[in-house]
Amino acid sequence: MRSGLVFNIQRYSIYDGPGIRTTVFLKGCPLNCLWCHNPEGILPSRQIIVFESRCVSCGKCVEICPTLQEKPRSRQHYVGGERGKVRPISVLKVSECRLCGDCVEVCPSRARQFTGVEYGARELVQEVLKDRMFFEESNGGVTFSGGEPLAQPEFLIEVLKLLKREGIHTAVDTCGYAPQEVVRDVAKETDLFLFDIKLMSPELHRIYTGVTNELILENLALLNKIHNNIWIRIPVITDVNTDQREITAMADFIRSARSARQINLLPYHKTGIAKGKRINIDSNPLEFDTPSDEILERIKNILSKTNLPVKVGG
Amino acid sequence: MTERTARLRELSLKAKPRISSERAALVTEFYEKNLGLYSPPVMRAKTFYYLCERKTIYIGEDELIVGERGPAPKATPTYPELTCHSIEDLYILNSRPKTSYAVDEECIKLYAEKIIPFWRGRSIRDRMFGLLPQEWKDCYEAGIFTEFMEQRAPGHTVLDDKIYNKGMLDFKKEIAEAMAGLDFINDPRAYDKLEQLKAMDIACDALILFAKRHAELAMKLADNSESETRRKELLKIAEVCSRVPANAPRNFYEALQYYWFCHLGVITELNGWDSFNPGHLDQHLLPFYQKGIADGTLTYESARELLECFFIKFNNHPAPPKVGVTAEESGTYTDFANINIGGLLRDGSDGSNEISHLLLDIIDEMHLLQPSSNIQLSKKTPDALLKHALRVIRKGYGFPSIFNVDAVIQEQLRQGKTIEDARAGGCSGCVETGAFGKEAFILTGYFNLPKILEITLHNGFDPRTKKQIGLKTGKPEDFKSFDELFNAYQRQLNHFLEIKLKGNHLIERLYATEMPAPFLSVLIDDCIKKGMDYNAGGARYNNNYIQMVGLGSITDSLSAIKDIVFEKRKLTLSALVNILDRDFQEAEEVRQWLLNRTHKYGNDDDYADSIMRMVFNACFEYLDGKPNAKGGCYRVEMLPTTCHIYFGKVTGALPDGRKATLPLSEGISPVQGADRNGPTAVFKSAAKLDHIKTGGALLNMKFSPDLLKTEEGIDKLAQMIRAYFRMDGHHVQFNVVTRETLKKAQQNPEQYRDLIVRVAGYSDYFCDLAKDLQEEIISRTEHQKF
Repeated sequence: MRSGLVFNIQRYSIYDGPGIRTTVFLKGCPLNCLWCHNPEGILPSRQIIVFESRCVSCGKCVEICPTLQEKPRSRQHYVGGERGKVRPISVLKVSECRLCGDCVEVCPSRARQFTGVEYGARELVQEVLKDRMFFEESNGGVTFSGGEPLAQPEFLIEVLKLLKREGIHTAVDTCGYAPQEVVRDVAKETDLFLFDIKLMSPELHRIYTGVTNELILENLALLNKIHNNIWIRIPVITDVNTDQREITAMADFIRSARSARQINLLPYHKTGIAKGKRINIDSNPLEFDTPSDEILERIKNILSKTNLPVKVGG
Repeated sequence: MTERTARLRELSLKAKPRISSERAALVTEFYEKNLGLYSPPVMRAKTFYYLCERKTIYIGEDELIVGERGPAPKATPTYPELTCHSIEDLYILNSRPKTSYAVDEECIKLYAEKIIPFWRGRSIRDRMFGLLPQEWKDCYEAGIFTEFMEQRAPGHTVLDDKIYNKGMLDFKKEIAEAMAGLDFINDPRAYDKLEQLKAMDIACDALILFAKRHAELAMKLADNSESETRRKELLKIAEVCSRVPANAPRNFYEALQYYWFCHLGVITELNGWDSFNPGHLDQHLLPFYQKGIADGTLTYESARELLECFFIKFNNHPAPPKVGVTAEESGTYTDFANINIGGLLRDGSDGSNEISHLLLDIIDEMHLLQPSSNIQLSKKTPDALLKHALRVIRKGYGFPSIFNVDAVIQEQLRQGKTIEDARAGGCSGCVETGAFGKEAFILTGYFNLPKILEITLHNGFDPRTKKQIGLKTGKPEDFKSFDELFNAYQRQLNHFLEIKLKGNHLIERLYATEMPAPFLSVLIDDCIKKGMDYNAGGARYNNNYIQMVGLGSITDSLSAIKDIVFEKRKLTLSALVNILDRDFQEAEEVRQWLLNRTHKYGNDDDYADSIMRMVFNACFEYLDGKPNAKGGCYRVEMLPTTCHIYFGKVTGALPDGRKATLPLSEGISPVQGADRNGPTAVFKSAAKLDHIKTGGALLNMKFSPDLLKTEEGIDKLAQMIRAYFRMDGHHVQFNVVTRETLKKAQQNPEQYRDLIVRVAGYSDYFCDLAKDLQEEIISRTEHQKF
């Protein structure tokens, strides 16, 4: 049986497809978008994540860390931060961490946790079926997001097959950057694709996400032939993909996508910044502006020529 | 609202609750003259008659529905025959910061000179405390349980449809028939029954007289009225009050006025808990509404205005003044009249109708504190009604609450009621299940589940009152396994329930023999037929409840002990008890571990949830089916009102990481902040309790207004509720939180850990968000005025 790396299971997800859903976030993503709102999902391996507000400055993590060479001699010595608060993360440089997990084990307040848990396919299915009653009442189901779910294809397909046997509706939320055969195989097993289009210009796509978009657009074209239920999701990032040319190009492309059923605009939000600091407190990601209602309205207007319903939000 | 009802509403909102000594003076006067002359039921009936004959009649300007319990809106009487307030009590009522009642010097003087000298030692409360054993008093003082009937009469019942078909004159006929049927040869209790029936007959006359005095005053006011419109209204009032309650109502107006007179009768006779309640108002009013619309005597607008006037009447009547522990367990002006909307008809078909929606519109527009309201949702109830209710709920008033009719019916069938009586029943007060018009369903007191763990961990000793009130079930170091500890807990639980039950029997008999309620008995089947008082077992069904408090706290505490003491062995039980005794001083790390790294109820985690079931089953096994003094049984209820705050104050630090004196968890809700897996997980955990074995289980949820902003959000909430009810959940209510709450959450995150907000494309726990993001969400919420 395959196992997969999951970094979050979000119950009562109501913006990731129809009805009430449980969203499973699979860890690891081939893209590196500058506005990423799940930065803890990018690396395809376990990481330590720190919730600074939960830290009670007990110093246990510092004491136990086998990597940390210079240990403060007394509790007094940890106290360096604001109002006498220990900031263990600043003591433990991410680069030196060997992921032994000792600090996670001793942390009393769960300020330090692993992000990324190994799940067997059946184990994961059992977990998501806990909300079956809610799926049934709402015509909801399970959504796989990430990270990039197509980056763990064997695991994903096995889980999708098991859920199909249980009669559960499934959705795959993808950036579209995956080998064509993976897309082909997953398309056979899932009821719905939530397919991201970020930018139409290949060069800008490379600058902002780390990869060009040819494969992504080819995959969308392929899905149009072999799958009949696609929701297009566009993250709206002010001054990145909000100009007339980009949106018009998107509209033209989407118009040719026969299987597209609706378009969702996902306005940029700043949660990624705080989350980024949970994996690396010294991280300093780019900050964008949240698009105004006027911008969203304008984009909606341009996209309306696709004759698809356009919704702001999931 | 019309201009009239807007003015009446304003007046009601502005009126300050105050004590009126009129009732106390009249009752005392009557007792001084007549003490010893009559049997208790006749004495009570004649007292009621005396009140109806002499109390000040109030008809306010603009009013269409008339009648006040006191001489004016929010003038609240006292009931010295039950609780004789001391001068100090009156000063406290006057000056306390919450739920105060203004008391004037004249009232104090009257109490000092007349009321106290007569009632001290004679009131039910004084007699009760004189009779109850020391062990009961020790437990009461330790905060193991509270006692509902120490200041207020039993009450706790709801009216069915009978008054819409019968007038008081019809009830008098039934009483006469019952008297004629008495067998003075073969039934040695026939004379007792005769006294009861005489008393009921007098009570009917009293209410007719009360209405007649309103009719007379209305005529007089009409004569003096300068406005022609008002003169006509007053003449109409006079006509209505001459017709009902003597006769069955003929139209919508008379139906409402009739109920209101009955309501006033019940709350004037005694101060029964949960005031009184019209129950399925939409179902009862429908025939009158349809008839009025058809014959042109009523319009949607005029019906709505009458209903609005009717609602304001409830709001004019704060709960009778409560002091001491009673004020702590139920610290509110609300008196729990709880209108049922929707539900099923007796034949099992959907009972919701156009008046259901009309009531929701009124609730939405008027948002008064009283009456409370709830939706009775069955699988047959249309989604349109549920969604309409949710659109009201999203405004953040916390009402209407939502009940599962299909579960409520199963609960009643388990208690042995007929299917028709069960369907005509519903929920009242907070969440209590009952057969409307046919049942005395009596809450008898709250019960502090976590406190009993504290006592168990101290070998039966209460650290706060320094008394050995429990059994000696072993010191912490004696317990070798979790099962041994739980066994000791269960023995202590049974011990305290036993003390509570013995006290309850005594109090119940005191009310049955000394403080009958003849007027209420007229209204509840089968008191007339049996010739037996409501307080003595006259009702067709008699279920008593004890309300368990702190289910989440006790579950998490036991779960933490099981995990870290008996399984992971991080700490011995004695070491843990030591830390608790010091209220976690110098042990913050241990507290954090308990808070964050043990299994908590409310997360769909079987480790904790199975312990919740063990605790519930322990309560159920001891209590369910135990006889009460009215020929009925005891049942388990899961309800806190405000008692989780009071019980928290008397309970030391707990193994779930809660510090001493802080609130306990409420109802069947998880400990505040312990649920971390979202609302569906809370519903799943809560549904692992067997709701059908309760008489009600209260679940509270908090939502951000953002989650319910769109129709899609409403749809999904509706679907989530349907799923919970499919799992037999009894009840749920929603707090849709405001900016102020979010601010408070920022300042005291520990108390708001379970607050869910929509962040962007997903939802998250508010307290887990970074400060700046919290600020951003706070500013967003500010723009949302619904």
